[in-house]
Amino acid sequence: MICGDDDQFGSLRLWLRDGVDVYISPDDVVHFVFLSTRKRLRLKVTPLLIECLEWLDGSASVMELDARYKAQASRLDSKHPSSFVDFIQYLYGKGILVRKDWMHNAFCPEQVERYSRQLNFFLDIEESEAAATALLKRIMNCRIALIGIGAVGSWILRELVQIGFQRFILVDPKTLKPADRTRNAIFDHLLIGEPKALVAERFVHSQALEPETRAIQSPLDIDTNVEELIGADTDLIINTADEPYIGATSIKLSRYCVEKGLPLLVAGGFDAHLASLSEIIVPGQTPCSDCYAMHFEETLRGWKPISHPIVDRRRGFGGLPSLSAFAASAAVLKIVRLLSENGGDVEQGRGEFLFDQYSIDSFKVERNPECPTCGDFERLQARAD
Amino acid sequence: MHGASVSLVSHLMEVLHERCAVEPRAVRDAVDATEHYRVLNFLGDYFPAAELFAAFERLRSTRVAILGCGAVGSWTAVQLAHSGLENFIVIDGDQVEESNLNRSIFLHEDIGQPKVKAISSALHRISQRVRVRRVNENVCDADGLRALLSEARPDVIVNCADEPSVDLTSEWINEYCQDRRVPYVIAGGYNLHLSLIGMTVSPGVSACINCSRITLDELEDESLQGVRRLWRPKRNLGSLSPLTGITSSLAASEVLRLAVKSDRLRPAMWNRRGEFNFLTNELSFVDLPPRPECGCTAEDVRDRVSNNSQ
Repeated sequence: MICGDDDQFGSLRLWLRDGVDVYISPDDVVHFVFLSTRKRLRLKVTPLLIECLEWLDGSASVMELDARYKAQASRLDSKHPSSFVDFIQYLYGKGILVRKDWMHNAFCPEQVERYSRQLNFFLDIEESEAAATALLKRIMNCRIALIGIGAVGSWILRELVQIGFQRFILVDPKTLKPADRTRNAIFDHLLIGEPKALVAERFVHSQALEPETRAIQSPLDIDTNVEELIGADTDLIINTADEPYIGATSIKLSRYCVEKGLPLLVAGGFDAHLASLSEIIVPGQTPCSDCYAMHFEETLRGWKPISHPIVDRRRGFGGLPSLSAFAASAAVLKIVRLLSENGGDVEQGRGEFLFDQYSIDSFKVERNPECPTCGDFERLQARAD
Repeated sequence: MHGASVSLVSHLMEVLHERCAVEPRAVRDAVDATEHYRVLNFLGDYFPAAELFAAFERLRSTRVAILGCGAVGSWTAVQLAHSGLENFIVIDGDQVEESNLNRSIFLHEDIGQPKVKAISSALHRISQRVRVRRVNENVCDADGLRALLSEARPDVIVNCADEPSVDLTSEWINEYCQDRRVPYVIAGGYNLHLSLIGMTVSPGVSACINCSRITLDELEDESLQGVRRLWRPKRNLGSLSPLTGITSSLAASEVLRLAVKSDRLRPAMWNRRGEFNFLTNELSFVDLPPRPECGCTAEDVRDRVSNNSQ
């Protein structure tokens, strides 16, 4: 008998989520395999409960299925200690079963149409309808300042808009050049000569469902006031600006972010190669850019490369669009994980993708307690409060 | 160079040139003057200056066929056009829908258009020099695909088609490619999710799709052996744009490696396939060596090519 709070559960029409494969072994063990993440869950259950799994197509309510289960059990004259409803409730809690209309309860039809497959992916990660819904809503509401819309920044922007980000402050002082055709993901030869910030803004407005943008055609210099440049309403900053130098712009932004308690993602630009896996800086959790700088100063002490005979080598560095796409994708995954409830700990360290054998070289960097920027984070936090 | 003779210095320069550490000023200036200087500089890590422009020309003129223009196919195509490739054959019978926009390169304005037309527009936005042959049809069988490819004569094929299934479309492509010695790249779609990195096959040189099946059957997860799978029709599986980005970036890199046609830069996905793990940000690979019992060795391929041409 289903009663009380269970009435509501009993009326749900649940189905086996598309992103979960179900395998049944001869010893009545059911293997649930989450396709997107490869997580697995194994359960030993009765043959009748296994049979019930095939009923879960959303066409009948839990209460109706429970009645069918009981009728079947009594026909088989078997003593079934297992409760069908408990079993179903357990699978629902694990995100293996979902309500047929769960997306429509949270999003408008156009949003469901565009993001249904992504929401299915989020279910794999977050394991509940509510958490998957919340993740997409956080994405839609997050305001990102993207500094630099070049070889990596433009690919990041394209992917962010695809997955639902729609609020941007787009900063780049340059115009679109013919050579950008080899690296810029939003390149259009008809727009050569136009400011990149405006090209990016136009792109966001042509794709996002509810776009909100500010285009800023100014550089981020050493003496720039960050808040004057991007405003005070930013939730996340992404730095891909490699002029004057990615290390310098990152330290400037990192100090600003530590003071404001904002996350910063540094992507691209390291040594002018394009397959960096990016690093995320979350004040109080991860090292800041000053910690990274001190780490490398210490690690590379005594290692003195000779100065290169060519003074300005900026046009001498190589890159492939496919490496930009890889670097941008790794960066966007970090942002999704940062906003996710089950995305794991925020990564601390740096890594790069090596083209030769497609390997990933990464290493950890710890917060430096002596760091003048984030060493005394508690004090900074108290001041901010 | 205290005390070094001219011949010793000259020999040193030859070695450094061969190992791509130095280049003549004239080559550097010529690279600098092109729009594709970044790609050329990248290739310059693998090709000595004397071979650099010839390698890029091989890349530029490669005719690549992309079968299936969905998420991975569309991303792969644009990355190749950005890299300098100018000849494309795009094959897909579907139209762009709103649900494609969360992971493909298509724009809102493309909704309702054939995917091949939308891809063509995207490639032409990158370069007016690009030539695109559009095949607006879904390939339904091996004969249909063979006829189409025999006429289009691609140099490289990328399989991004998961209808009716990636296994089946890969088998059809393999049949054609083994007969014609055309290399192919399998991109995405395995096991119905998008973070897998498929293998690259050069007939007579590397393992083919059938070799991989023999090995994969042997490696089948023991915990799933003897189990039955619950049948589930019409599923709407999860996907995420950055995973498409990663799969397509490796597919595009493999096409570049094939396009330069040189042992200096060989495919990295010969005899293996890989997987990118969303949760750990790690890449892992499974070795899939050539299997003699498959019948796709260099000798077998030579025989087939010779029979084919008689």
